[in-house]
Amino acid sequence: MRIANRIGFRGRLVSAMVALVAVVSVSIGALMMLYLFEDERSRAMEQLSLGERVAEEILQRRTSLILSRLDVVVKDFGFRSALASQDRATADSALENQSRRLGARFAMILDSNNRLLATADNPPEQLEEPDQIVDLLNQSQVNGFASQITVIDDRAVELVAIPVEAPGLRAQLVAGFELGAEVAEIIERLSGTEVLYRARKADASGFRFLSEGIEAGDDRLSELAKVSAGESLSARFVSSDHYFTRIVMLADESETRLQLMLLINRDASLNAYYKRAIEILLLVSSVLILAALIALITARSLGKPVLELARYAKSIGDGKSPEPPQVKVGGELAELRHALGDMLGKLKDREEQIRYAASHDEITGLPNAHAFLNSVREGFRANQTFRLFGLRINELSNINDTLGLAFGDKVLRAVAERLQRKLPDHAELARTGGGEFLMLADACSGEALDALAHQLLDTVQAPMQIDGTPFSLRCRMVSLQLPEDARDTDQLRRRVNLTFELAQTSRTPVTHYQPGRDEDHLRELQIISDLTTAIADMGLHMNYQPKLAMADGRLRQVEALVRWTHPQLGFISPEEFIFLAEQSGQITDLTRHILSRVARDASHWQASGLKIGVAINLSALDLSRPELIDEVSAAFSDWQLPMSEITLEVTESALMGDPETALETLGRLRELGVTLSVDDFGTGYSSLSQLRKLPVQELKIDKSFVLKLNKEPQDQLIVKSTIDMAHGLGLKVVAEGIENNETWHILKNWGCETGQGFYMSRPVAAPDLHATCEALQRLKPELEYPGETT
Amino acid sequence: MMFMNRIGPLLLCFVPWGLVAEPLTMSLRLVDGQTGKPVADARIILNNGPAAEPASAEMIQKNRQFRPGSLVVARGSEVNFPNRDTTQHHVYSFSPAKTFNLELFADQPDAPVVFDKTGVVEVGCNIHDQMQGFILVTDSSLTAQTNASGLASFSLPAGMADRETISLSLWHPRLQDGTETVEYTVSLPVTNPVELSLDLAQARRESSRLDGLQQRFRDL
Repeated sequence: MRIANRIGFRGRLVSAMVALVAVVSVSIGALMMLYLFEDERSRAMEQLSLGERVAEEILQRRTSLILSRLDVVVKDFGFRSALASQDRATADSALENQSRRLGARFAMILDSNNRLLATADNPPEQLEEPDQIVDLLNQSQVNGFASQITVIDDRAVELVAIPVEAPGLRAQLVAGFELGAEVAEIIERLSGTEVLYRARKADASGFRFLSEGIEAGDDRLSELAKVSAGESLSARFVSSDHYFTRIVMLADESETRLQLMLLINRDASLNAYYKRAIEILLLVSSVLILAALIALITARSLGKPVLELARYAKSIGDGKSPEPPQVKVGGELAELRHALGDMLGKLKDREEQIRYAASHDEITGLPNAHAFLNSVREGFRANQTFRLFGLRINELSNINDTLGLAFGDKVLRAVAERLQRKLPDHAELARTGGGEFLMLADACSGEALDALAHQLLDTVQAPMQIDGTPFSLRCRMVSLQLPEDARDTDQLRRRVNLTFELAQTSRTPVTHYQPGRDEDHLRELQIISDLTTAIADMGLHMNYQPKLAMADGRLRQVEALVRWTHPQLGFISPEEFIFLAEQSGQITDLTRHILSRVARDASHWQASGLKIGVAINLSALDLSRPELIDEVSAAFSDWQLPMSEITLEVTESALMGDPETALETLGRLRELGVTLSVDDFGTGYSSLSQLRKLPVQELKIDKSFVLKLNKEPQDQLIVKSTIDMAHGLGLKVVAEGIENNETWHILKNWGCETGQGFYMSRPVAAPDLHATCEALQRLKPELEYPGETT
Repeated sequence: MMFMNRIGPLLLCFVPWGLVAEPLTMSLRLVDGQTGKPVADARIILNNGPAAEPASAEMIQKNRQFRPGSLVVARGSEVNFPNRDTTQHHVYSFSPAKTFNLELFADQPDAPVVFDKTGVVEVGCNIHDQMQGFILVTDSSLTAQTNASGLASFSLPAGMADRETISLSLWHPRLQDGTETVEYTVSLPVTNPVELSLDLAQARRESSRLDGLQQRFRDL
């Protein structure tokens, strides 16, 4: 992360700078290349136009030179005499002589009627026809001279005409001078361009080159032959692939076009151009590298203090107190460093406050539960053995309610102060809850323990004076031996609480933790928490134990018994989990669940022809709920048999807590038409006066009296008199726990109406009821006649 | 003989012959065909007139000029070319009518030159290009020179006055081609003065040509 950031920061700076330099240098380079390209072109243009001027000038000078020479010739007396001699041979030879002196290719003299007077060096035939040169002759007649460039025998030739005028002699001298390689070389030398002659005849399609020994290859020549010049002056500058060319018109007549082509080979300048391009590229690259280096150095010098500050900030964040880094640069970074330093200071202050607040109790200033548990944890870690005392003020909420929170706070402060005073010096004291104080002292046991505990308790409970009010507190005190009684803080908390709960019912002023209590407690907690799931997920099973009419052995009713096999804890006795459900308030859900389960099971077996009623046990807590009536009527809304075939069994103790509500509920249940039965009669606090008030129709003798009825004369006495009493009160009697034929018959003889027990049938699942019925049918003879079978 | 009759613009005014009893004199008026101005110093020769007698004449060189600039002589006449300049002259002509060559001389050439063919003989000096003279050699004795008004008159002999046409040869130093005469034919009778026109060159070409070349050399 740190490295990535570093690269990111520097990388961004470097890439920004490099990008900037790249854009600038590449555009400058591109511009330079463009300028160079344009420059090359314009220099070529300049050179070519120079060449053109040079060519024109050279041609003009040449013409002038020729003319001045000719002028001398035509004024030569001997020459004139020879012409005037009327002797053709003489005239020809004189002309030939002069022609050679002049370096003309050919010469001829025509008289004023354009008849040939003399020829030299075989003038081309086309010129012997004076029509070809009549314009030239007329121009010469008028201007005193004339010149014209044309193509003769594939050569560029300048024709020059000058009049020969002497007393009595009127003629014209026409001479042809070849514009050869010589002229081209002069132009080439002066202008630095290459020079080519090219010509085109009217009937020909393209230009031919007249010069000899042209060095350029054929492809180059064909490229040049295609170069065409426009009419305008500027269009005479043409660029082709390999050449810049400029065309000078030498003859532009309909039948013959003769042009002087000035060339600059582009290859050399292109090579130079490429060379410069590479140089520029190298320059741009080195500028880029330099820029990158500068950017890197800048980034480093800028990034280093930033990174140091970042490290500084990070270690502040980690809770360390680092020295501020030595940042050399000033300005913003120095300011940032100061800000970080200030922050560190303030952070420490605030942290101190928070830590104090987090570890101390606001009211007493003592360490709080958190801090206390930390100390305990450290003790565990150090394998120390010590004694933990806990003190809870009874009824602190009452004090707060009645005397005000401020008063309560003062009580707490006073308790804290007293405990502190009484505790050994190095003992730790903490307020860990509303009225709860925990103390850590050296390990002690026996008398020392009792002495200290009682001293503490007495100190706290000693009368005190708060705001002028005399006041004394009642407290509970617990003690645990550590680490024997708890190995970690979770266990400790739980066991301290558990011990406090035990202390509530304990008689001794100081309650010690009893090993194993916590494990039971945990099991109960698990049962309580899993019971909800079991109810919701149909994890409970219903078993039904037949209740038989003793008179004829008929299966009259079944008692619904709930069974629970816990996935981890295995079979849990109904007594245990019903007791816990009552404790946790889940009994309401459980009863509702059982009611609906039983109603459904009953509707199934009744639909299959078994006209059997049900008996359901109710908890004492159920009776305190008026909703129970609605729940019962809702569960059995589809009940097919008389409502009296539903028996609700309640224990005597159900009436103990809130007899009036319970009575009212029972009365209203009775109004539904169900049969009410007192369960487990004979155990607990049986109050006959209450029994009298109860709207019950049945009394169920507890099985403890029945199980060994056939052998215990005392039980027989109790049972017999109970049956008699019940009959006297107009109640029917049910006996449960009948385990043998003998008991059955004893009870039958005594007039007990209904019997229930393993002798007849164990509790069975609803689907097994049919089979149970058949089994009971087979048992019937035994039930009617005692001792006939075993 | 390369006389060529050039048909120039010809304007003849015909006057009814009727009342004129004695047509002895014929006057001619010569105007410039271009400007309409009278042409002076033109030579007029009535051809086929009475034969002229050979005589001797001279054309002196003075101040590097031939004097007179033009001369009309009868065929067979002798012409002397005395030199009155301090420099020598080399008088010559390549004219078909008379080709001669008087090499460098001072005072007087050894012999006069005999002109035995009719025609215009152009005379020059080989060492002084600008010197130019003309000698018209004719058979006719009827010659005249126009005055400043361009007028010239002839007394026609009886034989000639009866003819239906009269042939005229005109010459002037400023003719386009000074080596030839211009031929006219006039129908008789005529009303005087007979008006004729000549096309004359405005300036001498030779000098313009030289100027042109010199101009070019200066430019270079």
